Amino acid sequence: MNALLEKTERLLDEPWLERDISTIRTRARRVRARQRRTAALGALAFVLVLGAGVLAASDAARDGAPATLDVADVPVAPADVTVMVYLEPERTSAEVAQFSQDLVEDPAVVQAWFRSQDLLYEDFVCGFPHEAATRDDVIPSILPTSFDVVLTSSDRDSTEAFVDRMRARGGIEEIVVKPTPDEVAMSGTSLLWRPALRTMGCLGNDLAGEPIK
Amino acid sequence: MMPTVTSFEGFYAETHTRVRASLVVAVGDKDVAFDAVDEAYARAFLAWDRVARMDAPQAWVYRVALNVVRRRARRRSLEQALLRRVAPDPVLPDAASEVWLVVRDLPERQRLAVVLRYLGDLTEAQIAEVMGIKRGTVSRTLADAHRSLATELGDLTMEQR
Repeated sequence: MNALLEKTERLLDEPWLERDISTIRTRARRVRARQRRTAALGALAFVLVLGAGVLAASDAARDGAPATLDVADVPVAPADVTVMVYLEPERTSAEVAQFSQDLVEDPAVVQAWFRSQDLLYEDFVCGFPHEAATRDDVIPSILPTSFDVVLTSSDRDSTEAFVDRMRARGGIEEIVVKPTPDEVAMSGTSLLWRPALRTMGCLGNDLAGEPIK
Repeated sequence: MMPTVTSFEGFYAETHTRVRASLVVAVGDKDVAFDAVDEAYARAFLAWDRVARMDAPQAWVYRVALNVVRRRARRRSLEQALLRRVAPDPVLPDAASEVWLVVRDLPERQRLAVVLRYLGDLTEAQIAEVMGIKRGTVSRTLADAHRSLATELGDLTMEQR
């Protein structure tokens, strides 16, 4: 191995490896702009798709045909989940494990399930079945892991207290609180509230996560 | 050794040449590697408050950079992938090419583990974190790579004589 080590030492002395930090700052501005653009487009796409579903359901009801989509009756996630917590995709496995442990020890949490990046990817593919270009740009490893959580109390104050506590600990991509029926009826209130995907025919797609509590 | 850092500027100054060298050899393409490393450091810069608190910020940068490489690789068409298989090795600067020639025939997992260990200077636990595998698997992978490299380097030594 000495030969390899000698070669690596020579390589590390090469001047072309140097790159000024201003390059990174410039790149960071581009990354930030791209992140904002992607988030905005994702939310818009979801609202449009779900909005189309609402209109289709309304049209079908007017025509006397059986409504295939009934947003007002969107079934809740498994076991009456009240909050979905999405972690930042770059979280390490140790950080995810620590977050999981924190949920287990949190007295406000009755039940919780861990959902892997692969499960969210299944939801994503089902939610955007005809968007091949979008799917090509998304792979499971860039999606967040998440936790479905049932709280001891689902009233608004208790839920907001839990959400504030989670946000304060950092590393959270998104926290989605179960929308009210009115919010659901308005459509597109939540990009990541999975039961909404069922209105788009993803009935078999709301896969159960791994129970942790 | 992982550097002890408080500012992003210090972290970048201490780590970036090693990270760049590692990615160049791991990927075998300077442009692709540099682009991925720039992206990873840019994301680290944006999330520095959080990244700085990690046990090993450098390992996080490796992980993100490798994810960027993998993501872009998946976007390439099958045709491009096939063309690349029959294409010659990408042109690398001499010093990088010397290391690349040693590790290029290793299976991908072994090559990455060796690069992260000897160029990246990561511990086995950190390599496990970067590669998303168990530490025991890293040990076995490095042991397998050592056996292959002993043969390879032995052959190179014989040829040089």
